[in-house]
Amino acid sequence: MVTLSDIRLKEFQLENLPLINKLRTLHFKTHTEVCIERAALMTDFLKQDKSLTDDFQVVRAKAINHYLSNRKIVFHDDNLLGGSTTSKAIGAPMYPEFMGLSIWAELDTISKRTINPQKLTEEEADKCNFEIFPYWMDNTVLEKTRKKFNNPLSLQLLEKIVYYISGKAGCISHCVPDYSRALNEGLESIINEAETKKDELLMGGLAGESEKNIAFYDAVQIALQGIINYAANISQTAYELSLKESDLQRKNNLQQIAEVCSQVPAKPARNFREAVNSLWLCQVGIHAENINMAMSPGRVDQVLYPFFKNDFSLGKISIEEAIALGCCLWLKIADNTNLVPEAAEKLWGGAGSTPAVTFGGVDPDGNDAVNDLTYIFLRVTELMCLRDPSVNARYNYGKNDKAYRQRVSEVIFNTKAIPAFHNDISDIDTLVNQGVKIEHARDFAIVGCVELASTGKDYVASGSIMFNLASVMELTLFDGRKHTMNDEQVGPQTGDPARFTSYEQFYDVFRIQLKWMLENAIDINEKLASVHQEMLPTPLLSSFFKGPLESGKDLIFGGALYNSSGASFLAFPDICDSLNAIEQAVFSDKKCTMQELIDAIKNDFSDTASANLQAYIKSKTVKFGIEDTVSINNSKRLINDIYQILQSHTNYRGGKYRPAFWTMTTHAGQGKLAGALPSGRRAKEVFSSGITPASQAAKSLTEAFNSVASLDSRNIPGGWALNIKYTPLLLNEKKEEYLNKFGDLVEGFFRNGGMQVQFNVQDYKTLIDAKNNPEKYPEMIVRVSGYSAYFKDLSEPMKDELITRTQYNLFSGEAVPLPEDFNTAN
Amino acid sequence: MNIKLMKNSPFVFIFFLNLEIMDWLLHPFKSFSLWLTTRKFIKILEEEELDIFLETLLKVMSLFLFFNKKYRRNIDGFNARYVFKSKDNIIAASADFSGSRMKVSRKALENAAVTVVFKDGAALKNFLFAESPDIIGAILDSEVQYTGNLNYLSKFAYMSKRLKLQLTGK
Repeated sequence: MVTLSDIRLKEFQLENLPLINKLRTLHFKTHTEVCIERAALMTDFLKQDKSLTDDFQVVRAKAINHYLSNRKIVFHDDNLLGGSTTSKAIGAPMYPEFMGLSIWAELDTISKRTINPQKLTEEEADKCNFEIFPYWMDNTVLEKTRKKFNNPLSLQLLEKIVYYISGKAGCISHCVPDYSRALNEGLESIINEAETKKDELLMGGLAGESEKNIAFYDAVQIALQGIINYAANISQTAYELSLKESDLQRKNNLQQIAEVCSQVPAKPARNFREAVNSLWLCQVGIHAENINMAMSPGRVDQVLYPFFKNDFSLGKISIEEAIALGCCLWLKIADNTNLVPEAAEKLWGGAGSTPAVTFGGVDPDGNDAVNDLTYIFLRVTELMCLRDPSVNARYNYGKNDKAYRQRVSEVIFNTKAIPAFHNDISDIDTLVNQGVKIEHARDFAIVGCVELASTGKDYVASGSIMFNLASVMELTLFDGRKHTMNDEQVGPQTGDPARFTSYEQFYDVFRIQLKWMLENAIDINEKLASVHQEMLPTPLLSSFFKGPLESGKDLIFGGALYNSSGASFLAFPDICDSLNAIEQAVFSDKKCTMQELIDAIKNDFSDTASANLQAYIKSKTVKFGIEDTVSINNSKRLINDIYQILQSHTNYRGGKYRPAFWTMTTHAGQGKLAGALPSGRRAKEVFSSGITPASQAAKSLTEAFNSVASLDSRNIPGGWALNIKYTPLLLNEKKEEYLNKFGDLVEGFFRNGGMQVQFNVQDYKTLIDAKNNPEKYPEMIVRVSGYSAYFKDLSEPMKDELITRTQYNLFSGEAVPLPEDFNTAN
Repeated sequence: MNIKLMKNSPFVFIFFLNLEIMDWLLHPFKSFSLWLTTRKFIKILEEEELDIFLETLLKVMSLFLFFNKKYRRNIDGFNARYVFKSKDNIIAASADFSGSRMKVSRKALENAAVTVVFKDGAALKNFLFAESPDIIGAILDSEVQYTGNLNYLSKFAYMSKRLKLQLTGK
């Protein structure tokens, strides 16, 4: 319910929130450091653990408990909340069981590299080299999988990087836990339930799965106790520090943290501050077990609202205090990033850990869920303008007030990028179509970039596969060979396309290669998952989901109510344009033969004849983003085929594979590794992002919106990322009209079926200047493809992709031409 | 030598004792050899004389492991075999780490933890030592390929970089 008289909360500025202003300034001045604390404590424990008879779930829980109970307690600043993801002010935690060892060769250089350095002391590097890494070198998920399955083809393809990337080598994470029970009842309540369930099983006698279930209930209790111990240690340390502190404000804050952390998360939160801190400590806790990749706190405006409402109605908290706590939560969520080796940084750099928060929409009963706290968090988002959390606004045009739509639009306008807009109606419909109950679907939140998940009910593993469609096109054109990699025979031999007599024949072969490669991607996902099931149970995370406690089954064994896996597709717009070009230029218009097109692709459109063909294709064949039958049919058909292939597979937890079209920054990195395409795109040019029409392809905003909205969202249950760039407000334009137009366009897109849209309110000139003079734009935030990033941190290809994205004039709806003098070599 | 390794066998004891005596006797020779090989190694790094890059790298690494206690810590308890081959099979070498020692051989041994196949000496040098190594580019262009455990390759790359740092200061 909304009671605020001014939903914009404009009287609350950073200038009159001195603590928050100071914390934010400090955040931007802080350099990232590698944090080896978890790796060191977990490794030490496992080396010394002698409880060989314990079930592996219990061993894992004990290791987690050991880490959480022995963490160094740090207070890097005067944040109002206790707890931190790592021991560093901004830390990149190391998970050696996954890809932590990928920085081994860089231990001496990671602190000094030119792109996004991550500080590591010599002592820490030695600890990694001599103590941590040797223990894990045969025991990472990837190497265990290689050994168990004798280096299968699907793993070999994964290691070539350009076909698909399998998230499970690095994590599962990617989900939305439900913290509401922890806030309302406390973790001790969950521990008690686990103990009761265990007792019930013991009374029934040990048989079959019971032993495994009992071990699960033990593991839950041990792991949750780790979070409680961590909170108790924070409380004790804060109290001791407060005794020595002479600054009264700091002393008071430490005393409050001591009191709060002595209550939560063990026991129920009694007020808003305790609820916020409890949520944060649970979020910290799950990172002891799961990599910091898209572990999304979800609908914070819903989970925390009862506590705010109660405090506010009793006069126990002011709006200013609530905003301050919200800002502190945002800064805490942003206190970590991923550990990234240099090679990956070049291609995919600039990403945070993308914990997504979601506002608005409807509640499980279908009622308007927007409340005072929604607006408070929108103001927090506007004031902080941080990369993380990844902020998302659900908009239900049937239930939510237009004022909410306009306020979200205004925050995007002011931050120039955040939050992203999500269509409540189509998203709920899409989830219901996946078999999710309506009340669960209504309680969806965004994972990481754009993925949909019913809060605490669907273990979506949405980052399982990142699939490169451009490689499939290459295999189709070259009879299953990868001509850009020594003509290696990779896929099935499907024949020389020069002999194909129809577009249908070409597309059928494309589908064969697509299916073959997708099945390899699924195969390695399943194989990696089987190793996860042997070594990486998730008792902590399971405690925050519906299902595992009831069934005694960990999430990793299918304990959640819903169990999908996500596959996201790269270069979708480029492949649609390529299919269009083949259908029109080769088969309909007969402008060239297939052989001529293949030759042009081989020589990267470099000779005169090829360049002429490229010019023809670029100017005359239809593109994704244009309302044309050929273009729309090809895009719908491709979406449908991907959906059918994926949904025909059941994953290791009994759920379906869900296609998605978000690309983070991989479309830029993978584009740099790819050869030319039939669309006229030359080798090494970046791909288009997500489901966004290629740069300059759609000359009209309406056409771009309509062609994307025409895709059936039910075939894209993983979600999509549509990037739109608007010219900022011009001198002769009025802000109110601009914002009204902004909101109307979003609503029109949604009413036509659009799922999601995100914006950059930037022009070409500013982005080019930011690329050339990064020091002038230290805090410039942009939407990439799903999440947000600081422009200065992005790789060169990604910066170029953002610059060249089509810029539209909001009022005319026309594309603004890219400056002729800009080229990606600038 | 690690006394724990001796266990109770007199044969093992005599074997390790002999090794110690051999090390002591060979010390001056190895010392001179390290000096010479280091000079050659630095020259290769600076002058692109790459046909003997691999051989020199492995030799200098082996000698440095002998003389530098801290560096030798890298192979304490480490047992693994590496095979390096050029694509044309002209160059082949193996590094066998066992019992805190490194043995270099001019042929490809069996049962390697990781086998690295490189286009030429320049590709391998770039892969291991370039200031901003283009690892992905090297793999995509098939300049360097590997089979086996990637973590072992990462460890070797770290040891090589550390060696270069120790010997050249950069």
